Amino acid sequence: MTDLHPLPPVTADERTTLTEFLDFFRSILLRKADGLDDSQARQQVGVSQMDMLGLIRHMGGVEQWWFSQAFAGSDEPEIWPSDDDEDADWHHGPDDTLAEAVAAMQQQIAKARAIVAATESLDQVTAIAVGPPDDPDRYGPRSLRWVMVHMIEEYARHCGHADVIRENIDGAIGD
Amino acid sequence: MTEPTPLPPDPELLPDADEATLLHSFLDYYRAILIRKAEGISDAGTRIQLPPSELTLLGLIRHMADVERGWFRRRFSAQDAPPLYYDPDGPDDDADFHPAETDTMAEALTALRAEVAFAQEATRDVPMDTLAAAIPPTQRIPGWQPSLRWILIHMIEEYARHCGHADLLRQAADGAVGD
Repeated sequence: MTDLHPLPPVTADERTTLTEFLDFFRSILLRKADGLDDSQARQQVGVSQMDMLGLIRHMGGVEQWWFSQAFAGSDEPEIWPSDDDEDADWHHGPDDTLAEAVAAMQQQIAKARAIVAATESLDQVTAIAVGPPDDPDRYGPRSLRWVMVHMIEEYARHCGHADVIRENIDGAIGD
Repeated sequence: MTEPTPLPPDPELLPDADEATLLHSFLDYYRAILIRKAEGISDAGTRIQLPPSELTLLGLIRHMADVERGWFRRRFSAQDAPPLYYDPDGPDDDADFHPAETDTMAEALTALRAEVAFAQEATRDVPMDTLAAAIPPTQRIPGWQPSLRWILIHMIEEYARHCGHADLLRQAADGAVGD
């Protein structure tokens, strides 16, 4: 069982507030996957093809991309290799497991936390240019501040997906 | 059919913005995304559900109008502005999520836009460390008086999470996906 990270302190400085909100939502998404078997982790709702296994794999990959690869400039291999399929994180195979996806996500979170902790200023920018290379207004380095706010909203939006998916699986709601 | 609400400038265009600019930008972007999820669909579409969840697009818009009102009028600005769609002491304190047959998306969107306009004006050029002016007696955590920084980040994640709900509801209603 993943513990719910404490509510972010309400009068903290910028870095603490961003860091705590991000950890809060990391814990919420992991809790949405708690206790599911590999069949439940593949359950979809409505006409969407999203499932909890895909969401957890996706966020492990997103953590790796933004913090290890884009911000720190690591050339490590992707955890869900996407040579032939850009959405390889979502498109899991029959042998892929939720336990493996959760472990991979937790490992990427630990790496991300270490990278942020070792970075002195939120103004520091990604080691590489990100965004669409054919769009000069969007292609370039982004600050750690930008990456942190983006990660909070990306987690929160996917937690919204997870809310509906998990409630459909077993009725569980909330954080 | 009217044109959809335009998206404000994408935060991707602000890769090195300061704290205040970035938080306002992400929040305005998500406000527009949620409103766009609720526009241009039938009345039935605004009420579609993915059981057992009770969420609907109409409920989400009413809820966010009251969330904006609670944070920016009652707490941040200490206004006497009771909720629009629920009574905390009434029989259903989640009535914002439970619209009646006669309630319409047009009315709810007008209310949300008015609350957003107030919030934008009330927070323009206000330093991020500024504390909320009032602590409502019903506050869940005693002594809470959050900074504008905390409120803006909270609002970004609250909108983003509800946009996640809206993603699935809108896709179920008419297949539309994305921002």
